[in-house]
Amino acid sequence: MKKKQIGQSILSPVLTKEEKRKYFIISCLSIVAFLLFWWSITDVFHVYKPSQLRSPIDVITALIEKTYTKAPDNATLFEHIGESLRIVGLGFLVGTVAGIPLGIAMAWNKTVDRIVGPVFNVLRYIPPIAWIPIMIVILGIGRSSKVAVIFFAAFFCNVLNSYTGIKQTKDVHIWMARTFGATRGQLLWTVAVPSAMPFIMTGIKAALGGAWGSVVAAELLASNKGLGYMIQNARTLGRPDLVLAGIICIAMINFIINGVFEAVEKLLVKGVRTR
Amino acid sequence: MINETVNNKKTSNERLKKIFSAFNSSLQGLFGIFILFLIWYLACKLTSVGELLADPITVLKLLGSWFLEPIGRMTLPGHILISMRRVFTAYIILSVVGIFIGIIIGYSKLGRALLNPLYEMVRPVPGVAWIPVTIMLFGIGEDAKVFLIILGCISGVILQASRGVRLVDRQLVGAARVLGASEGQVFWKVILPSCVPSIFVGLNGALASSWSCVLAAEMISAFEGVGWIITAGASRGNTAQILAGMIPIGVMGVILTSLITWAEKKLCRWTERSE
Repeated sequence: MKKKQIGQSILSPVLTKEEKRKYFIISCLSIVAFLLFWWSITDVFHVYKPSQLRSPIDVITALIEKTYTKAPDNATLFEHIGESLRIVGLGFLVGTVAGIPLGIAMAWNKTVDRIVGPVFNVLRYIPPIAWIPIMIVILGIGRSSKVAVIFFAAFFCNVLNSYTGIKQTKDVHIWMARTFGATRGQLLWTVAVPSAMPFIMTGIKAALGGAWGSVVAAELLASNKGLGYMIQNARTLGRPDLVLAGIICIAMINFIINGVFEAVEKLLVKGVRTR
Repeated sequence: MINETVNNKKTSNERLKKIFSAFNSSLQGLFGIFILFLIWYLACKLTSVGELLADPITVLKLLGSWFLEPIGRMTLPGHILISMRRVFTAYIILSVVGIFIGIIIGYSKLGRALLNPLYEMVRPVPGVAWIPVTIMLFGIGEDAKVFLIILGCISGVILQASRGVRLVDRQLVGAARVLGASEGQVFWKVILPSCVPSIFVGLNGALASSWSCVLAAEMISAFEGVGWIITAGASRGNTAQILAGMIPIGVMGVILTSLITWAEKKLCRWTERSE
């Protein structure tokens, strides 16, 4: 009986109101159970030392306290967030603005592809994180080295995706436009680029995620401000509550960035479903 | 994205063409590396970049010497093997666990209600942000790194596996049922095979992110591995060591990518994702 019920989920994805309520309660219970488990291994049974893991209550307290105290790392939570966002924003913007046109040019023009393609294909296999040490040595531990790393993260992602997007333009559409006498410029702007839009948007979205991950990594390694620095510093001081509070912030910002982007994407790419 | 023409009969002419194009693309890769090194060399010799960066000849000599003399605790192949062991141990565990959880979330309503909220809490956290947490809980040993990679990179696999189950063609499931397939047969013969392409999207992404995750982990807390080589170089301001360390990182990136592409081609012949 139970098995049949499970199997039906494939054929009837629409839940009744009653079912919805039931599963909503189960979801809530699952979160509560998780928090209780966390609380019991910390505050109740002390499985971990307070320098390793603190209870959810401590984490929330640390998160609230950090919004107005500068200890222990000389900046409030919002200052850290602002620093990280500034780096991501700058690196991402430059990487995207440079990356998308290059990807399109590489896919559209054979000469550009022949010249840039081989070099690009060698460099793209190096993860953005691996650029951090060399950037630190060249540009110092200030903001510019991190912006450079984020630039790489966003740039490669955008080039790859816009390249793929243009390359998958349907031949039929191009023939059709040619038959009606479209110039090469018209072919690019009215046929190839619009049909590559979903890919380009996927690229931007992946670039945003990658950029946010890379900024955390860069700040963990060498920094004196930013969310990554905050959690790294909290770790060396033995403050697991602050570490987790920082991770909650990092996750929430990632979530918000994604949500905003998806809303923008819906406005821009009407009627086309992305992958 | 679905391959339009499936032609199994390969004439010798086609095979020759294939070999030629493979040869051509590898030649292009080598050409790209050559161009890159040439630009780098000229920039070092002719401009002031040389004061900041080591020139390619020094770097290649250093890289060659690592095969004979140890760098840090071991020679270069030793470092590569250690990094690879970390990646693969974690990757195997996270693939199995991730596919399992993903299928549960996609297949069963109860499983979805129970696990999805917890999964959604972990998903927006970039893998590298877990580094301080894993160090606090598990120290800086091997287990900590493996755990970090699993935690940081599993979410993509779960997402794609659950999406694969939910996007199964309902008509296929219906047809199998009408023809008298049991619930188990529907699952093993219809649902599971049709999520393989989607699962591979997840596995593909997870491999790339595990590779950069292990680099980040080694850069922050390790005494061996390819990530350690470049941070050790950065802490001494030795650009030759950083740049020479980035070469094996890129090469391993290429090898890992081609491994997963090869596996995907073998396991899901019927769909071909555009690269």
